[in-house]
Amino acid sequence: MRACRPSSLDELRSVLGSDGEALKLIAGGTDLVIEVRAHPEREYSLVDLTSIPELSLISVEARQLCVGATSTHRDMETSPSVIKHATAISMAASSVGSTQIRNRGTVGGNLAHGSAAADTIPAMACLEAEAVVESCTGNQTVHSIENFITGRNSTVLEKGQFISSIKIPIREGRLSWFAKVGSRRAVTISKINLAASFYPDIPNKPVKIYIGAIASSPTRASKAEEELSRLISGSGCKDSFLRALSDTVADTIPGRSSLPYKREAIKGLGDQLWDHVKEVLR
Amino acid sequence: MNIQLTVNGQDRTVEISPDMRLLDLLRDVLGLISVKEGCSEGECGACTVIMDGKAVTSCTVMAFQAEGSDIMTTEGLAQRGELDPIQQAFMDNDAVQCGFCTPGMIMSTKALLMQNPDPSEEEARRALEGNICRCTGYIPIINAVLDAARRLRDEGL
Repeated sequence: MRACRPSSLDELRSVLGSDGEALKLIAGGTDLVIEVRAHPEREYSLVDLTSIPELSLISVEARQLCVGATSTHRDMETSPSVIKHATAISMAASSVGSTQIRNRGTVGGNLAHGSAAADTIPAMACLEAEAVVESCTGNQTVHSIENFITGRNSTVLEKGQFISSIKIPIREGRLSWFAKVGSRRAVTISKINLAASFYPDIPNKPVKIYIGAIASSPTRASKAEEELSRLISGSGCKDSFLRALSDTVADTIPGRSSLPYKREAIKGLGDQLWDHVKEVLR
Repeated sequence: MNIQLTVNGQDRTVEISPDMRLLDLLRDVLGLISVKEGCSEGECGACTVIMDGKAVTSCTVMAFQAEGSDIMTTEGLAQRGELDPIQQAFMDNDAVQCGFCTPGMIMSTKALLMQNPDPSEEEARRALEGNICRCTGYIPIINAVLDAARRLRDEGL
């Protein structure tokens, strides 16, 4: 095994441009260290991103919230800017693992790992966030979070690329929300989760709802969005909303053994979301 | 490879191999055996240490990532032969049974009280939710955390 700690983006690009197939980027290590230990037969060349200060900055610039890729879940949980402009991400991050894991695990690592059960990814999707990906040559590409994960633990990231930041547009009057169901109250992996953004004071603005942990990437619940929009416009039916969420689950994982559980569990989360929006509208 | 870091207030230069975890560095190289290896995947909290002021599971941090960092383990708590008020509170509240989880519990408590000297019971429970105990049932542990907070506040008066 080899290991290095670049101290700047330039140094990182240089390493990425020169190293071979075994190269792996590491930040919090909460997933990768376990993987490395599980496969002693593999040759790893680890490149630490936590030594690059620019990658952990959180800033508000030009109506965008910019979150550096190595910002931790703890940073997401406590940053006033994230709490204000991206509440769903803050709520999702605060539900991840234990205090120790939130202190190390990063938002970029969560995305790059591409876990279907990730909590921050549906939250980012409902806020129309985008991932800024850089290559060793300095080229930047921007990917929507919704399309970032391409399959089980696989993403659009190619060899020699790294996530530098997540950009979240700041929209006037937009609120967001996140909740999950796991096997226990805390320190638990999502069996299913739900993230939403909405404009309580602007009925014509779009509602965005994503369900996580039913497919490799977050699944948009369009019919449920329509029903929640009706609630914001002054009508709307809770039963129809919950049925729409449940139908989205059924359409996404037909025949899967977890379907009977998940299509009911999503109604519990939907019930919480509906009541939350009603409370906000009051 | 060599790394430099501070461990329990002392500057150290340590030779490590790239595949070593922080846990291995602390236990096997520096002999700090309060740091326990339990699950080896960041779930049980037995290996909890404080890294740059925050509680972390040392089994999920690579040793080379600790270059330049400030690490605290339970060995660094007692001063001049006297137990730290957190250690004393754990003893006085019978928060120790087999003792394997205790150093991790104490370091999570230390990290909490460094940030929040007057935690609520809920805050104490959340701070220690990543530390698993199979003996005590947690009630004496939470009592110890709140008692330690009181003792430290009283000391500061």
